[in-house]
Amino acid sequence: MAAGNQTDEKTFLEEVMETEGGRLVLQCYGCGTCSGSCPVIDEMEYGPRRILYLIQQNQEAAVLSSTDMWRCVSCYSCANRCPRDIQITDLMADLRRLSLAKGYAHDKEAEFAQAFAETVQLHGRMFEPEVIGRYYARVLDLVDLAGMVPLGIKMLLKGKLPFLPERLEDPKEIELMGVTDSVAPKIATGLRFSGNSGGKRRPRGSMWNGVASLFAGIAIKLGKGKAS
Amino acid sequence: MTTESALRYAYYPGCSLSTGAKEYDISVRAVFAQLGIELVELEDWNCCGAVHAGVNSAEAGVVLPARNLALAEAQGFDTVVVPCSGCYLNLRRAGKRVAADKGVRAMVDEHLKDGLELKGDIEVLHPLYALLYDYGLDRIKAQVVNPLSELHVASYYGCMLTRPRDVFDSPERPRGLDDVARALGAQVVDYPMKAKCCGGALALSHSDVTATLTGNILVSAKDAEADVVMLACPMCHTALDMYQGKAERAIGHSLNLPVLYFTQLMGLALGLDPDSLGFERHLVSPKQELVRLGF
Repeated sequence: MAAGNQTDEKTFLEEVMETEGGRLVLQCYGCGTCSGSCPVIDEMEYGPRRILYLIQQNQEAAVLSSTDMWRCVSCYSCANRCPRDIQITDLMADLRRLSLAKGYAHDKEAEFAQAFAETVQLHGRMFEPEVIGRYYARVLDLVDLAGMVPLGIKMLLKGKLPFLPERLEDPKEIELMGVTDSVAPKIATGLRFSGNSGGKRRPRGSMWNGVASLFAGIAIKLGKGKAS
Repeated sequence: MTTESALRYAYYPGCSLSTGAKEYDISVRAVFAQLGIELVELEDWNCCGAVHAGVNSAEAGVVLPARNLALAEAQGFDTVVVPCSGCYLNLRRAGKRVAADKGVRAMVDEHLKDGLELKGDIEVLHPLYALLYDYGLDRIKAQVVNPLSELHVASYYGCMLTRPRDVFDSPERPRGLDDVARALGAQVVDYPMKAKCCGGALALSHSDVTATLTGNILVSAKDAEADVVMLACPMCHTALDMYQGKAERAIGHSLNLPVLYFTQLMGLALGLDPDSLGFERHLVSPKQELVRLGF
């Protein structure tokens, strides 16, 4: 629970090796089967093979400020084929967490992950309109949002977007789990035109949090009458 | 595992099946009921966390799915059926980790409310595997009243149904869905992209990636002369059906390839009312195909 700037002298490599996906990173001999199997390799700066190499070389900033782990689609092709049994897909998820905690993360998918985590923490279940609202409030990407409107209308017409969130009997149960609790809770910056890395993070989304809670509160009150 | 005794499972629909993928939920319940398998929805289930639950806290990534397993145990079940491939992997993996590691079990119990605990001896099955391995393909085949013999089906497996490697199917050359399609009397087409990723995980943040990956899969299925794609995951369905328009723009030509859940096709073959299987909820309408088949 201590903040990141404490005195422990762990190297980046050691930190990665303590994660579930990173235990075997030193086993990598660089065959490249992972990068050759990756469906989004064209989207990546390094790709999994070079990420593994950079971890072995203790290159924290290069690894954690890249956007590679945020482009990972969690398809498990790399992990399935790795001749050294390195759980590369899980490692990518662990790198996401490290890059957030250390303030390196700068990708729209990082914002989406937080929007998702916040929504689940609040309701215990996903509620798409809120995830989408929280996400666009974070990235402030109106061009992207406009591109999604036609699909959103089609989804509404097909009844694929709910109007009210489903909640647990006692959403406090989920709070115990700390879905949104991080060593450092906020992302460095979410704006799409930012290319920075490792800078001081600034708190974001607090206004939206207020709006969202208000909205969710009203929705729940309305829902109480209807639902069981 | 399989005998004539009635099967009874806890049912974890997951968030997608209670909203956008309602047609999958409806058709899973209808098909299982028709086959005489009892599904009991887990009371007070929570989101499995998708791929995001552990983004801030590694512990939360285990506890969130594990709570559902603890609920299933408390509600008297030994097996949970989970139709979303992502939820299926999360719950199954959480169960395995708790069973294998006392430290993880203690950590989970510590984060659950008082009185709730996870013993860790609970089985997690995708409905496809429950049908294939607990119920049996022969018994399904025997109940087919409308063989889909005029239908060319491209089974799409996606990722988390077969990966990471598990005991049920091959992660590289899977066949479970093809076996079901054949049992329904359909013609199975083979195509190279059947186990490649649709990119659904990035559907909002990098929708161009999803459109491209999805387009490649649909083109591959279309080239193999499929009439429909059949799948078993709501995220895959979001990509292949809802993002088909974006995929068409990404690859530069139209596809118009209906994408159905395997339980919807099972429902047709087993003689359920086509109007009760949610076909009208798809963005790419399968109506023409249904009419051609006489439904």
